[in-house]
Amino acid sequence: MNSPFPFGFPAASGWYLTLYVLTFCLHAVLMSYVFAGTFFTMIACCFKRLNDSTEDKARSLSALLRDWLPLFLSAAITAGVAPLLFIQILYRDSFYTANLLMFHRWMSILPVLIVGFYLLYVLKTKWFLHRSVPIRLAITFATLGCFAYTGWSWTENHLLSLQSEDVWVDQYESRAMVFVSAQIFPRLGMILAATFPTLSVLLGWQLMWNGTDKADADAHTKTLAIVSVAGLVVSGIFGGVYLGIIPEFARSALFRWIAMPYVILGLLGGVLQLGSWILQARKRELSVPLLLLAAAGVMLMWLGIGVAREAIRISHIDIASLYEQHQDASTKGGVIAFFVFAVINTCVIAYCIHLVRKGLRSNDSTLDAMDEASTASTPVD
Amino acid sequence: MNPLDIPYYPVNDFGPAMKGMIIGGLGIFHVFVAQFAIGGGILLCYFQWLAQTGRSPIARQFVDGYFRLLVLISFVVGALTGVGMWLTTIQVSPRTIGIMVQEFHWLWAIEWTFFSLEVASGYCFYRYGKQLNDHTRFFLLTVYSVAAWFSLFWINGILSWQLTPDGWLESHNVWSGFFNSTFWPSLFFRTITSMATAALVACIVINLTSFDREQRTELINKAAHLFLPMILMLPLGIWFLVAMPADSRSWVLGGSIAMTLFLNLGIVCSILIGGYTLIGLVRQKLYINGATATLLCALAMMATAGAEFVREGVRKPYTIREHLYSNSLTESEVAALRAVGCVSSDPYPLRDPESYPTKQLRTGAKVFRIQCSVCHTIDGANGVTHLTSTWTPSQLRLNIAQLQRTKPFMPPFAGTAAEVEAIVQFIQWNLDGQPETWDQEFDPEVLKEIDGYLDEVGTKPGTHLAAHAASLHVMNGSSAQGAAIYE
Repeated sequence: MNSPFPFGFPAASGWYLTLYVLTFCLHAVLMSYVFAGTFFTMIACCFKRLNDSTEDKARSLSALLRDWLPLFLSAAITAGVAPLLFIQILYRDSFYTANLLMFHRWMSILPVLIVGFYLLYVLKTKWFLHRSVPIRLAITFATLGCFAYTGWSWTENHLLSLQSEDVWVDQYESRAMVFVSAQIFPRLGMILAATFPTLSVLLGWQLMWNGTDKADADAHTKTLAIVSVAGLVVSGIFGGVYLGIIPEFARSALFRWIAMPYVILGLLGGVLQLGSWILQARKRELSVPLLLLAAAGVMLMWLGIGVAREAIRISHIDIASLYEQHQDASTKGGVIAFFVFAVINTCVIAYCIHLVRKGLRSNDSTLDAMDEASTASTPVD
Repeated sequence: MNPLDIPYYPVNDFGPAMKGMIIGGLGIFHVFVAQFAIGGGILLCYFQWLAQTGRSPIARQFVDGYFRLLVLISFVVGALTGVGMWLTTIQVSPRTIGIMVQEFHWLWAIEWTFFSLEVASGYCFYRYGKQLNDHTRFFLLTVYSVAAWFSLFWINGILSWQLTPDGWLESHNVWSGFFNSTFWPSLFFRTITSMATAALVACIVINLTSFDREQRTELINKAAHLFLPMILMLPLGIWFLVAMPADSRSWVLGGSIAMTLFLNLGIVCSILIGGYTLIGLVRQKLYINGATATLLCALAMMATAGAEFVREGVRKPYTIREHLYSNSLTESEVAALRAVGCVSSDPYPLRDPESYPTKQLRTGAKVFRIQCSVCHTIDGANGVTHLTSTWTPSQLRLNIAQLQRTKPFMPPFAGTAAEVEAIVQFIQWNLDGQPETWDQEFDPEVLKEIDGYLDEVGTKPGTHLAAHAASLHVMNGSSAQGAAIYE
């Protein structure tokens, strides 16, 4: 493969691979908020007495997270449907085989995710706030466990799907629903650690956009910077370990044209994030230009991870044998209708958000006007 | 080596549970929750309109509470069971879902855009609805309802295509397959059941609120308006019956007792719900307490269960009509496998080969796994041992070789005479309590007889045989006695 991803492939295959990688990246960004956010909330439970007053919401990152986690999980699941669709076009047989081999173990991610989802709602309750630290810790740990289990299961499914038919046959014969591989832990560690710098960027934007007082928002700069830098460093370490243990043919794929430009972009993304957060931490304030830089860094990082992932996968399989299947899929109708509805529905979503913001601003203006009127009518001594 | 390029996937064993029960169980639950979400949006639009036009001021308060429930249930369980349907279908029939995704992935992607819109508008309302004016609230609820309904629109087309692919069989055109003959009746039917489901849940929720009796009665009577379209369920049901293939129709009208019973379950439950709600709640404006509302909701779930079982069952012997049999083989593959055998290219060994005393029994176990286990267990639900307990070996050979004659909703046997004999031995061994020793049966005369059965019946489905026989009767003016041989 002598061209950068996705140009070395036939048009249909390149098209579906691109869609898969892009939708995977979107899902990963949203999933990052959920995983890293739950982890952050768990740590906050250890150190802080949690309150639910409006004042504390503005000041407390954990309160902000607890408020938004269910929505982000819903968004992550919704966004996850897209790569789930495209992976069935691209790698149908291997994906289905891995699903079948993992059997109940694989299907268990659904009730686990349902439990995790409802636990996120529990985190929002006053009941949770008034529990002792050990209980709050146990609940958040259980919540985090649900998402970690899901991530672990997906990683296992992915690695199993890369194996040869001989391995699949052995796995089937052994009735083992768990696929053991030395790659699981470092690979999972790399991706889960990468969720933390992503969380920092998302929280930074949330603080800038959700009406939080600038001083309160800036007070979190150092925390966000530490979370980001720590996540990048740990992800890098796990990435290094992972690189060391994958087979040579998979490792060399990362240094070929298919992936190398993206690996470089991914590393550049990490550098951009490091630079952005170090500067913001020094200034002790969040800055829109630097947050934009960090956001660009996050996108490049996940793009690099996404393409590297595919390059490693492709090094394991005979993708040329799937070109005909991809070409056949590309002849199926509906793509124009998809783009039309995608544009329309995106605009409607944006309009809904605009209406809500306008409505909330209008409420704020009305309240301000009432305050002013009240002040004006109050006699002054 | 897999010269026919048939995909062989590992096949799992669900113990005593039929695979159809697994997918059906989750499907029924998901459909019920999804109906609640879709109908809930319509109901809430109506209630918001009642509130903002002054017709029912208390409706506004109810809207906020009901929507919270909608989010907590449908956004969590509804969404994840929807993904669960995909994963469960992979477990039960990967080839079917693979073909569906291959053909309709762009329409599924369109559904995804509407689902995203549903989630976005829903969360906008959930988080900020109380702080917004009526106009914005109504807009968000309308967007949510429309998006939820369009999720139904797109998935309904894909699912109904499985029963009536119509022009897609010739052209493989996505739109010919999507807008098929059962699309519209099923879409309208599901819309009405969604509204009824949401209204029933509303009746339960209203009873849990702090409103007084008079206020609850007012809200219940308003919610009951969503039952009115149920009067269209009968004509829509008839439209669906007329639109479905003749053989499928014959099964729900008596040909298959199980499907007939489930259809009647759905009809009776719907009549009970419709009768009570239309007469009691709409006409007489009665009050309904929480217990009664819960009972009606349980009936609604049973009606959904009956309808979903029928919808899945009437596709037989196909999962995609005239394209893929329920054993995940095409008609041409059946013909090819009659020559080379269905187990010869299966790479997956038996997990417990030592349990079977002979190689022939192991072959029979593999044949069962590939061709039968999608719908049958050995001695659990729909167990082959229960179904064949009184058959002689000769009857087993004939009925398995000519499966599509045994029951017209069975697919043709896709294997060699030796494989027929292997599964006959396998069933008999199980009927005999799985003894530790067993003789192998390789009588050439028996195999020749089985070959004759296979050649005689051919590889066409049973529905084709019945139609062919019927046309012969018309041509030859055969007696009723002659016709009885084929029925």
